[in-house]
Amino acid sequence: MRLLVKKRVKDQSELREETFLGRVLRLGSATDQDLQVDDISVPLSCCEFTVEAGRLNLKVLERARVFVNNKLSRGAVLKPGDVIHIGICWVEVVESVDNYDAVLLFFTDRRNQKTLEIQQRLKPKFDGMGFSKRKLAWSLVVLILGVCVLLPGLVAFDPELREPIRTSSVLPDDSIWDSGPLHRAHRMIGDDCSACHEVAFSRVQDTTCLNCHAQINEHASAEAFPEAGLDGVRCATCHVEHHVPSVLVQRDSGGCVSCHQGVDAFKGGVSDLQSVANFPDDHPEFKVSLPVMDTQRNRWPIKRVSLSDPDLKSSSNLKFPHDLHLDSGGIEGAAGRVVMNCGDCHQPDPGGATMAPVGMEKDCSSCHLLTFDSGYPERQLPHGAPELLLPVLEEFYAKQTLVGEDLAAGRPLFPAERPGREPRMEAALRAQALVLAKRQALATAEDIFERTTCAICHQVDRKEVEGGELTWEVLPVKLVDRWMPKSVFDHQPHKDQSCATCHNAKASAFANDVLMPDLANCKTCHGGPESDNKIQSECIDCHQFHHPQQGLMGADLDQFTLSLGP
Amino acid sequence: MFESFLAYKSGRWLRWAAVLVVVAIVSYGWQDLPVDRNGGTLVGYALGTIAAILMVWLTWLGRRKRDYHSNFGSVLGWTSAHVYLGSALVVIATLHTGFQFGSNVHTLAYVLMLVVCLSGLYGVWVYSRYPYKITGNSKGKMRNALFEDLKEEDRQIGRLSARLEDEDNKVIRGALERTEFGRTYLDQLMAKDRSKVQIPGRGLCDNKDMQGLADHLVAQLQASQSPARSEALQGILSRLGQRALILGRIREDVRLVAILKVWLFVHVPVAFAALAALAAHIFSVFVYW
Repeated sequence: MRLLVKKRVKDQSELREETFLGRVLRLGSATDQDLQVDDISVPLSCCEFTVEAGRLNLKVLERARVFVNNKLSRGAVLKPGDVIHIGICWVEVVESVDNYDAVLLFFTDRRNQKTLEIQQRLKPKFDGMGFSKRKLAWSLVVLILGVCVLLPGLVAFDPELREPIRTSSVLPDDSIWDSGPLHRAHRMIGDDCSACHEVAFSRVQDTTCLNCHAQINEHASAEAFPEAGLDGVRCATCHVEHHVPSVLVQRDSGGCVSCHQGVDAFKGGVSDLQSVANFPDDHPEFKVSLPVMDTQRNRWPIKRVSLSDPDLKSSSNLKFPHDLHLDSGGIEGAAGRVVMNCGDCHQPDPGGATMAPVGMEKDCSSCHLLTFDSGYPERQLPHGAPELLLPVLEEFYAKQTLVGEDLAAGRPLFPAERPGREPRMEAALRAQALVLAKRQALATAEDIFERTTCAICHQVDRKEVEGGELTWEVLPVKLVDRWMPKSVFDHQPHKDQSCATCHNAKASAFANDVLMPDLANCKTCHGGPESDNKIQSECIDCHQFHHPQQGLMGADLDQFTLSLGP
Repeated sequence: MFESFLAYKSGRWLRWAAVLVVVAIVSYGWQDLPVDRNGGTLVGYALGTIAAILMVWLTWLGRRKRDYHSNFGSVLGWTSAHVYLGSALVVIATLHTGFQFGSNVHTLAYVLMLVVCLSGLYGVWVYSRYPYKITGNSKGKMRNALFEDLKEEDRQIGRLSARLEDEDNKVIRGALERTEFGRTYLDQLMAKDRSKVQIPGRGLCDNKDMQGLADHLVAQLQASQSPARSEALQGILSRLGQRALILGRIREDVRLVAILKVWLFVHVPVAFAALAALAAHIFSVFVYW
């Protein structure tokens, strides 16, 4: 239907015309009504006007008091001249004009809108609190912008005003921009925001961190491993400051696993890295770093071997049966039988984290005496210099030869001293003594190199050099310094466990047995981060993010290789 | 039929707000981060951006409702969305904080936002109850009509009072003039009656519910020797009861309307304060990024 509504506005003096197009024209006191009456005595939805078959109908809703021509009505068919009275408003149906189904004149009772004289006289301040919301709003806006933006901004951008404002006890400075305290490790920076935030509107740069942390290593090369998404990762991506509670080092394994699960496929699978999804169920068997002597016998390149590898053998060139030494019945020592335990040879280093290297003089020599002649049990050979052994033995036996029969019988080997003449031994006698001494030295050397003293612990090669002379080469010994350099293991927290919990030395008959605990051994106590009945362990409990075998952060990236080396 | 803003389009904005809240909570929980959840992560920035846009848009209602010729959604729809999305803002902004608070400009913005939202929810509660209380109190009459009734009572009392001696007449007219509706907003909120009456020999006395004047006139009536004077006094006393009733209704009307509006004195100014704090929050975060 199409209605023309004429509204008296502005104290009823002005007439405004509005065209209504729709099915129903609604009148009530609610804001969604087509004709809104500002009178609470009028229901929110009061009545509806519709046009059916050219006739204007009025339908009164609910219990509204609507009067048509001064008579209470529940609905009516309206005609020009009819007057509807609702609360303070009046609707008059006037003669229809072209193109309109009906024309309504809408106006309100002026008398009810006027402020009564009595209201004026009593002056109740109904409509305000004596100050406006707008003024209050602007005041708060100015206050907040002044305190929270302007003053801290002056501190941030004006070096001259920085100190006076910061030292003032009243004025707020840029500390109110601080979203949380610094981690205790960074507290010495104090309140100098610009120490790290060097450029406004720019994130803290890694170079700023590296000013102090110059010796920190990379994790991996962003260029070599583009799949890892390390490109664009900043120090502050992980080391987040100003957080409450302050956690500068993230221990959560999720970040590690997000890259290392499927890391074996990186670079088309040419990397020797292995995928890890979680510690208890999807972690590769440990690998040990074994030094293997090269053919020149002077270099020991590192070979990584899995503890599950059937060919797992170390090659120290030593002979050492752990089982014999740890026999509960004891082992024959220099001063009788001794019952040995691990700690007799293996002692932690002063820091307590790793074990100090085992050494011959320190750990073996009390039993393994380097004697060579039963007639002289107090005499021992030097250790660690096999090339000196033969000369030492020759010297020893030469002396023995000299102090042999003649000296023992009290006869001088030299002619009687005469003035102007050096005392000299007869050349023939001298040659005879040396031959005797050398023969005895070689016999003894052959014995200790090939059957006794040296050969008990060492691999010794016998060589015949030109002229038919014999020499012996003791193969160089290489004890493993760190079996698992890619993990961080601290013996100290584990000291309440017996050594045998992890190292099954009593069952080892050969020095080339690798006695390092495997993954299953660790898992008897350690579980994943969500474990209910084991020690909850994160990646970072055993591994370092900043890898000691990687280059320094910020250094030339070319030094990184696909293989992480030993 | 009238449609409440709460039930607008069968709760269309309630559903949208619920979707927004669910998406926000799921995103927040879903994040796989190497660090604690905070406002500076991808989801954190997204939640913060949504919250900031919502804050500006929610404040824009004040502009939209004055824009009478706008066809950009009805004011009813805007109000409905304002209420539901404003409620959703509480959840979204809280997730944006990552539950990290401190004495700084960031928490200030959050607290001001909370004050605005909570005062708004109080407003919704008030709007759902008080209009019925107002119509119930005034029995469907507008306040102007109540004043018309009061004026009529005063006219009748004045007519009867004119029959009395000047001294009594003065006391009665003085009492009518010293009728108070509460000059301060606090008085209006509590419907406090501070009306006074000047009684000879006793000075300015309390006239709550016209009781001071009534007591005085009863004493006068007891001492009255003249039937005509007694009749006038009785008439006035009867009118005073009626007048007290009307005054009570006006005061209650003033109180209810004041309650209907008072929360806006928190809601609106603090909304602008929250916008200023929001600006300070965003500015400071990126200055010291």
